[in-house]
Amino acid sequence: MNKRLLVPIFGLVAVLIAIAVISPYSLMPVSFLNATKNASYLGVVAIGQTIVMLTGGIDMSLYETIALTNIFSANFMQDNPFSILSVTLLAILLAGCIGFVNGTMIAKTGIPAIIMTIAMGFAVRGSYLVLTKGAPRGYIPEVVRFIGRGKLFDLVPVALLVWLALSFGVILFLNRTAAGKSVYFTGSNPTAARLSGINNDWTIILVYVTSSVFAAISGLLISGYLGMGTLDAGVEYMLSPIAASVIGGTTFAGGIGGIGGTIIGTLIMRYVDNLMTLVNARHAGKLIVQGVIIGGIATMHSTQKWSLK
Amino acid sequence: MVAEVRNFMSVLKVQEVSKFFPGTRALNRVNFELEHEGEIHALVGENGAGKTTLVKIINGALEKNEGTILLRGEPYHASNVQQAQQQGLAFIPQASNLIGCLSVKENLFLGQEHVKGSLIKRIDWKRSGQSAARLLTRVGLGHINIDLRVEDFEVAEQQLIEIAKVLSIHASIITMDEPTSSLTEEETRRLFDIIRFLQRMNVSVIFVSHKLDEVFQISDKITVLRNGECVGTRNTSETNREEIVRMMTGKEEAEKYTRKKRLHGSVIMKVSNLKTRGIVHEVSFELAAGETLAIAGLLGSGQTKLLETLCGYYSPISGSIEIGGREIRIHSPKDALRHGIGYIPEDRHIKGLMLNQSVQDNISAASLRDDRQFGFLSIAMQLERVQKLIEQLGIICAGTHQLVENLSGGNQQKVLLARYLKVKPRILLLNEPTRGIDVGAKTEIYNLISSFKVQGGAVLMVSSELPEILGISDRIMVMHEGRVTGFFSTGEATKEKLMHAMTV
Repeated sequence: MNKRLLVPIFGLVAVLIAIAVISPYSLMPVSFLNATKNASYLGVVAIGQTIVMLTGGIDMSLYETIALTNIFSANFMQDNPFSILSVTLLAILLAGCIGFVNGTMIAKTGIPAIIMTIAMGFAVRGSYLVLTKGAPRGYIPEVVRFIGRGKLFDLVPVALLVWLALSFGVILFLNRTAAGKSVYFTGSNPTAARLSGINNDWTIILVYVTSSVFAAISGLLISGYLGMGTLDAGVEYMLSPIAASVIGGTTFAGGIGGIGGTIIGTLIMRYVDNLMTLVNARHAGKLIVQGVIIGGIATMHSTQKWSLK
Repeated sequence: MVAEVRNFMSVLKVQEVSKFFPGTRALNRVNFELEHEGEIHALVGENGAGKTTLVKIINGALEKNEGTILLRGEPYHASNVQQAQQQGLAFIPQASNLIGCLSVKENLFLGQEHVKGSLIKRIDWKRSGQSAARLLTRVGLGHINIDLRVEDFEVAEQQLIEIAKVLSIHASIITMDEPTSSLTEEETRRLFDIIRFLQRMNVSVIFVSHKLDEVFQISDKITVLRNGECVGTRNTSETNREEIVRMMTGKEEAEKYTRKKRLHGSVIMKVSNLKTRGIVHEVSFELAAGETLAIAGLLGSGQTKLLETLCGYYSPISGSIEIGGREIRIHSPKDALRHGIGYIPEDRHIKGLMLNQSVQDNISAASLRDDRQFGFLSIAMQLERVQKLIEQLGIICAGTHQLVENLSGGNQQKVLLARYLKVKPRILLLNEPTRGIDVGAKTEIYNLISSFKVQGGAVLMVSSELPEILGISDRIMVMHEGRVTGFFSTGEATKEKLMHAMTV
């Protein structure tokens, strides 16, 4: 097994033990599944961020894409199957275009990914402010709400299934397809990748399109959860997908990491959040604990890297 | 009594030093001695023999686990490079220590700037400039503009700047790790003049090198390391190449070059009037199946640009490339690979390998599509093919999951070769295929090139080492300033004829 997964697994076990000690009831199946479902929204967008980070890039526009998807869906969705389907597809297509512009600019002009995607974030935010004139309208149809917060057979959260299915697909993609392997190779050494016949530009465009599309899917799930359009749907996802990736062992340098780690990283983030709520911690306290955990695990990753050399 | 006096006299005495890394013993009770001032002492050995580890310990970059080091009879200890420098030991590592985006002047006094002012200390640029000019004159670079950035200079000049920097700290023992690996013959001669100048100033030099010719030219003494142990020390005047090679490898240097007979196959690649942006002008040649065509030339004569154009890394401006009689267009390395052209770059760390990826991924990177079943990679099939290549090339690794950065130089080079053999190429373009690898691994690489050729492949190879070119090629093409200045069959070529064509 991948040695880099040892650190996040250790972290997850530590958090679960802490929960078991402080509030054993929250490990009962129903509440445990509920807590895990709450990780799905972050989990889906973190997958996209991880893929981008594997190429050595970063996508800072994802949280605005989430917000855009939320406002767009609330604004245009009517309560009939055709509208739901077409608006969903349009939202995903719109996000794909955002990612395509990000990726093309980064690959073809060499503009740093962080600058390009922050700029894109501003542009997206400006666009939906124009669209809503600052006051989002509309509502989210029942079907989408069911996908966002409902449970199959009153037990299994649908959002959780979506997250697991997407994770499985991406793990398959990254490890078992030529294009997926290219993501790692481009991130590790673009010159060597190019001399191995890999089209780096295409790979970079692909990962930014993917990350934006995953942000849109996350945005749809979040819309279902919220049941309405709001200007703040994305705020909480500005940095947390990066944190989940880093906790899971994906590095900023590229070529190292993977979705398995990100899933565990996401769970750690959300379980800690849950735990803090259980002990009635305030928002400020949550942030401090999150900061300590992210810093601590990232430190363990770097020291482990040196000791393995 | 006599022995004690000698102990006291020797400049540097390394006694029974050992160094352990997790899982390996890099040095095992090694002895090494600089007996007198101004001694030029070469340290030789295959890759992984422990040369770099030893000189890093001497210069404070690594801590020893066992043993003692005496500096002029006194116990010596340095836990970092700065402490070693304060005691007069300076280290010029293989990879440059200079900061490319800073000027020559800034680099020379980095960390030891001249300052002026008492209340607010400022850098005294005027005095720095004067000292810089003085130091650079001593290494023969008095003419350069010290305000230019270091990255704007040639590698050789950077190396001289590095030596000037070492002079500025008044070092009495200077260690140079593979200083000539990126220098031309002319530049190497200049470096040797400087080393002899240092010798006259009573500076001792520890000279780490793979190149035995140079070792014999410059050194007073040679110490050989093998597998982390000291095999012995010889006076250079009393030994010979064969003995040193025997000490390094533990076996005779019998069949260093293996040139299998040339097959007279049909022309597989025909290049006509190829011209690129920059240096390559009107280059034409033919390459036949079953032959090795070597390109000789001084550094920067366009050899690398030519190979990198043929492999699709750069686009030509004009000219044509024919493969098997059909003109083809190559826009990217992907196109070249599809036509059976594989390129092995000269710098495996920068251009060749994906260092933080596994052996398996590195070997299969250029042929992922061949390992697919029903559209998905078959890891089992890939593993089987990779293992076959590992066996065939004799790659020593802990497993297919080992990261390539943890392999020795020779094995890294073989991984790179394996990647392009896995695509089953018709033509291999090799750029300095044996740079920076040890004698044993070189022989294996030569064998691999030969067997590829015997199976009907064509090899186009660039090398800056003439003995290598004369040893393994069938024909030689000489380039000078981007133009072809001559063809030789290897039978008629001599070092002198080639040098003449290389400098025209």
